[in-house]
Amino acid sequence: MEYVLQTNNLTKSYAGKCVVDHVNMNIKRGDIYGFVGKNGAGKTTLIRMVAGLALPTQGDIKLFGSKELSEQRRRIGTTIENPALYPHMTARQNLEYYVRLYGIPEKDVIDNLLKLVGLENTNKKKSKNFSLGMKQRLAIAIALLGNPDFLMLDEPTNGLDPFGIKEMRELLLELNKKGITILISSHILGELSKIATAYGIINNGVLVDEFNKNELMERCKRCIKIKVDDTKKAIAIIEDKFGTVEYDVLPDDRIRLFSHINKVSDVNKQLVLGDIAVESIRVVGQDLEGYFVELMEGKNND
Amino acid sequence: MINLLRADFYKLFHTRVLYVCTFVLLCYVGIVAAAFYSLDHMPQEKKEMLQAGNQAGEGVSLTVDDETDLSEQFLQSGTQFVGGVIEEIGVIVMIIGIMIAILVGGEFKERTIKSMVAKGYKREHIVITKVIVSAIATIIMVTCAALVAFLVGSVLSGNVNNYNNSELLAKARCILGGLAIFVAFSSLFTLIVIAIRNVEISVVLNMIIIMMLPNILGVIESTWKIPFSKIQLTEGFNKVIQSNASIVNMVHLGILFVGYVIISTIVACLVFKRADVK
Amino acid sequence: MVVGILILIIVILSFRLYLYRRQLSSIRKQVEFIRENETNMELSITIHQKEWNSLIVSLNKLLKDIKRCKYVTLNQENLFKQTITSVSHDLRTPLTSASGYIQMLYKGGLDEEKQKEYIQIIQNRINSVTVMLNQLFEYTRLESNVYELDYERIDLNGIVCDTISMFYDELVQSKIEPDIQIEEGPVWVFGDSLAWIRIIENIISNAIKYGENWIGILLQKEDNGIYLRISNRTSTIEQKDVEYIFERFYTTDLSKTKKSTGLGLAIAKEFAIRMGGTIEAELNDDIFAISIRMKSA
Repeated sequence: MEYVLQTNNLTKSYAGKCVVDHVNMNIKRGDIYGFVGKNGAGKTTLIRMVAGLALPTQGDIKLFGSKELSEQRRRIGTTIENPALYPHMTARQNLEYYVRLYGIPEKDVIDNLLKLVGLENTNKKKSKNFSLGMKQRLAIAIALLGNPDFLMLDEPTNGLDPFGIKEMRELLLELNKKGITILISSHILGELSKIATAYGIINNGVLVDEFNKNELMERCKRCIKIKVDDTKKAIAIIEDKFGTVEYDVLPDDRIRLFSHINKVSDVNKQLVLGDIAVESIRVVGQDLEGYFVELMEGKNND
Repeated sequence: MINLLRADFYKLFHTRVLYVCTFVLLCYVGIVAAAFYSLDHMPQEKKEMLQAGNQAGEGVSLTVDDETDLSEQFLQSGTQFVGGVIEEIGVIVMIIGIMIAILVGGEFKERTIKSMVAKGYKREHIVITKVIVSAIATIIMVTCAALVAFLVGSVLSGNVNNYNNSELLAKARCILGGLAIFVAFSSLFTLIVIAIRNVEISVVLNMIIIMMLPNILGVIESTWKIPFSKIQLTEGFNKVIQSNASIVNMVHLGILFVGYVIISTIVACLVFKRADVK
Repeated sequence: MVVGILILIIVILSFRLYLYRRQLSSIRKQVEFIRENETNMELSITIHQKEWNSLIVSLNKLLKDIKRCKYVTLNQENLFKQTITSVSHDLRTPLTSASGYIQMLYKGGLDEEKQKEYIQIIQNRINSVTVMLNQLFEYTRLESNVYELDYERIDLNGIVCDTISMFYDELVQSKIEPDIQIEEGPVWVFGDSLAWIRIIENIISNAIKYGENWIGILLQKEDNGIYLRISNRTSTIEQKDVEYIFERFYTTDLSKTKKSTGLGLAIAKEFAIRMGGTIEAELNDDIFAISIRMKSA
């Protein structure tokens, strides 16, 4: 599997405080990677390090499997924090600037991009007079210049109205179909969960967890969570009495049973009859948001 | 790096900074020309202004030496006026300082620097591009001012030139030397802006450098005999514009010019290389 | 003075030459990079001169074409693999079922009526396998241009009516009332009658399989040509499917429960185009229609 981004113990400290703490991040080719974390968790700092804006205190970065970062950064498009626009130039002039910077020879790129992000009617309006949403769109257009293979978007829906968010989502899905890998850092879990195929959760600079969409579905599935004293015996009873193998065992002696969810009391009875001390038994099922919040707060799975 | 230059030149010509600063300089030229012209036609006030000028001390004005013949015109010809304008390096360097602070500092303020860095351009190349663009902007501004001064001077005084060949050569040295130190100053200012990355503070610092630093260094030099004047651009320039300037003086200025540009660029590269770009 | 200017000119020209050489090697490096890595990157240059620009723009267009080809090929491959899987499954099911019935017959102990019933079922199963295989075979032949069409003057009127009547039993069984509007008199075209039969067969078969309780068949003369339109009510087709409906192996998301090779309409389209006609699909609310136009003879 090809990895677009791999960081190895990537660390950044400012004056003794560790903002990004030994992060090992892996983003596969073709994924839409949702980067989730609270404000100040270190998301932006990490993205800035990958983009080359900040130098890591420790650790290293591999882009497209290579350590030649200057060369590979040509294949990345980024929008980081506030949109970087020249305030006294119009949208078109801003794009002209970048077309020259990247040495793009085609003349129609600018028109196509403006149309793609919906800014084709701004004409003489200087970008300092743009609304936040328009600035955001122009920033995306700039990030798309040069046919990037990897897009890093820092809170791209910031400032967009619901219609704009929908357009952005559709645009990102289109781009992903063309093979562009996308990293989105965001707070808005609802939006992310609609398009992300992989997730990375960061809290206080530490990458708490990384998983893909299917794993997430698995973890949030409805199940009966049982804490017992003797898991092996309990499992045997469950298999015998209920004829099912749909369960798994978590560390600290908790069993998750994915079938027979409507028969909690039966399960309890059978376990007790079989001489198992059942400490707790209940039905759980999490929505994505609950799961994320739990991870972001740093609590362990209960 | 050529792409960096192309893009930055596009930006230079499509934003207002260069045009506004050139306009300010042209206004200054125009006002001085007008003042001289009217003074030339008012003999009584002329004398009074001279007295006041000598007592006022340093400042942003075209002061005249005590030896100047008061019967002479202020405005004699195009070439004379151009020479006079260029010699007043204080004003021009101030405007250069402001222009570069806005031009280069603006990139840091608007955070547009990150677009260049994030696409993989080497930091050294970015610095060198900024130095070159600042220098070219300076040259454009000064050249415009010189041309306008020449035209206005010629038109108002009625003469294109009132110098003989050797004096003309001196004026040519003055203009070329002026350009050299203006570019050297622009490199210095670019370094300062890249180091500080803040528009307002850079403007203040640039002002201080041109207005107060020569005096401070002069005082230090006379007290503790540290030869600051050898490396001061203004001093080097002053030596070159005098009629008895020798080849040595010109070479000295040349070395100063090259030295300032190169050292500023190198230091700026070093400073920028390890910096965190916001 | 003149010498000075000449020297300046030489310096400028040499510098230009140097830049050109650098640009050439930069382009070569970029091309190598694009070849070796899977990337969307396109060529970019530093010297922007008319000739350089047009060359690089053309090269970029070439690169885009290559990218598109790769993308299409990848899609086709995936589609093909999917189809192989589903076709094998589709073939296995009736065969397994037939095998089951054969087992039961072998066990014995059934009365004659039951036996006859089972044998009929086995026959049906084998028929459906045969149909599927025929479709695959036909499509492959069409695609590889081995198929030779006969061109003669034929009467569509007769062919359409005959084909519809072939489906009589099925229509009755599916409780579909066909709405037939065929112009009086012969409708002449140049074409291959077997190909026409297949076209109409495949379209009607589709309509019956995926449609609900209504089919409309319209045949009329138009200007210099003929217009054949077969429509059905449907709940398994969405607007987004319409543009892909003629693509081989294409089946709509909502019809996943009803298995087919997805080749029926693709074959119909191939035949229609081969014979010089046009074929279109459209969806209006819940009425899906396929129309064919051709010049008359």
